[in-house]
Amino acid sequence: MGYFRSKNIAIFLVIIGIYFAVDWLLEEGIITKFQQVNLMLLGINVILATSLNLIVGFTGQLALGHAGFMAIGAYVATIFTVKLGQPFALALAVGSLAAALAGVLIGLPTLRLRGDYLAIATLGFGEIIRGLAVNIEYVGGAAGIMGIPRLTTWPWLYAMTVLTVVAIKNFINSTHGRACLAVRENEIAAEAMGINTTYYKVLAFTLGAFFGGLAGGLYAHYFYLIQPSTFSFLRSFDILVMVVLGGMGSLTGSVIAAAAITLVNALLQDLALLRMVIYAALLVAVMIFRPQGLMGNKELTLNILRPRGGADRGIVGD
Amino acid sequence: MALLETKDLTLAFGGLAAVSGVNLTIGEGELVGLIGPNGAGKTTVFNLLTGIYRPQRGDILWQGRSLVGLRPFQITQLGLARTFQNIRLFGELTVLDNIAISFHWHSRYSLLGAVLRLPSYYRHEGEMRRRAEELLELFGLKQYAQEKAKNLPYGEQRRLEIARALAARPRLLLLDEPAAGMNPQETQALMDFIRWLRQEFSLSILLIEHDMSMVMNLCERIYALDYGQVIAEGPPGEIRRHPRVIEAYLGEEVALALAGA
Ligand SMILES: Nc1ncnc2c1ncn2[C@@H]1O[C@H](COP(=O)(O)OP(=O)(O)O)[C@@H](O)[C@H]1O
Ligand SMILES: [Mg+2]
Repeated sequence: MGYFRSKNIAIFLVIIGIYFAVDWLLEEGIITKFQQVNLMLLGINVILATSLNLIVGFTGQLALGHAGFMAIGAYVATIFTVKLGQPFALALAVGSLAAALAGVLIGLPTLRLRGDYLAIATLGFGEIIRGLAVNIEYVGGAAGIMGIPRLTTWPWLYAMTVLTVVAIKNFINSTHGRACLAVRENEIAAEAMGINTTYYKVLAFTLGAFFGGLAGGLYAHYFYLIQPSTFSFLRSFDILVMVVLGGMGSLTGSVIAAAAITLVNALLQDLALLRMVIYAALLVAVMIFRPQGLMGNKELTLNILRPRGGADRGIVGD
Repeated sequence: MALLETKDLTLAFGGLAAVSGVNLTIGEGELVGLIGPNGAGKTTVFNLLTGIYRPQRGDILWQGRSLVGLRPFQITQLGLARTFQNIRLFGELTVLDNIAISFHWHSRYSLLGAVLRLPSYYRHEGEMRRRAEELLELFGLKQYAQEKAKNLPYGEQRRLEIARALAARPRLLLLDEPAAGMNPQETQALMDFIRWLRQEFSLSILLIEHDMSMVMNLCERIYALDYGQVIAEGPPGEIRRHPRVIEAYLGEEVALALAGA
């Protein structure tokens, strides 16, 4: 029991191993500048996809405003470093907390909304955040903020990505996470079994927003520049695509899909317009052949493919 | 004091009085039946008792305290748990998780304990798992523990719903047509099972059943509902011979016969 089971130790060693391997490759210059950019994007996309999956895949609330949370994290963190001269760690923390607060605020009024209506409301929320950024001179209006110091280093990125995935995984595999799953599966039954569905819906929004904000802070401090247009609904949509592609309710699916999409985007970089066509065609193909996403709601674990929902051996259908 | 008491309970959908002026009393340890033809308002009474609907008139008293205005989860936490006429399991989750979810509000570890995997997490998860397995064993569902709930055969799904309701540790169990879709042998087995449940968990039970014979055999006291009103109340012997009950059920048979003809 506890932390020191052999499985946990094995995972820990793999995580540490990856860190030092990549670190060495960076030191030796084997990873090119271009690849570095994509490595950073990969980590940020993993954080975005897993945190959105918590809201959409695990709690069943179709939300389309994740870029809004990312924007809040990016802007608030940047204000703290650039304008207020605070340390990076504090800036990231405050940015994430600000996004989490927005998660509570957006979570509460949208509780009465379901499905399409919730999607539209959250889409609107994302656009409002973007619109606010355009109109606030203090954060540079439409031009955004330039000259942000590059503080997102490989150790920061890697630590934050691992932390996010582990935190979300631990949450889901707890009684609190099961309460979220119950909300997704059947809200009326969940309430009838003593679960405060309001609380858990808002909680999912809050946690998802927190990590979305974290991704924003990391993003801002790698790419020097943030603009309102960086956080348009297209980005929300991109993140949702990763969640759907990986499988709603599969954390490993989100990680794999975030990696795959980052990779595809990088490989197709030179193809300009054609890139969007190939990208779209790939998505359509996946949705035709694997409508449940790459992983469905199963997880990739050490003992190969264990369905998180239980074995699908299918004794007698329903 | 009665465990549960309703006074003048009333709810209309548009112009349709689904439940009107219903007075029920359920004592500690009683097994009470609620019968009536289809559309009589039985399920609506359950939805009122469990807070899914709010009554337009009247009151619901749980040990003297009003339940009106409470959310369903709060009512469950006070000690009422239910099953649904059209099964509402957490289909994509395992049988074990279905049970564990009902233990949720008894669980005693925080969000932080979960995310940081503090010792409290391991202790309470282990405990919940052990208790869930015990319950599945009692219900003969242990071999399905890791199966998705939606993949269970129909009868087992019904049983799992009862097990899940019990995991919330209620004092009053509300069963909505638990024998629906069962053959006579299965119904007989279910009756024995319900009797045993009441003993084992010292429960009070309110049972909705369309099938008269089952309720007659099982319940000590019966309320008969028609068009949202209580038309008769008493022990099975009286209900069986009550002219208005016979009329209500006869009316239904005639309607069915006409529909079939
Ligand atoms: N949500 C609802 N909206 C409108 N009418 C309803 C609703 N729920 C139940 N009814 C109506 O109320 C009446 C009682 O229904 P119900 O309580 O389900 O009956 P029973 O369980 O006794 O078969 C029926 O006429 C039904 O159509
Ligand atoms: Mg009914």
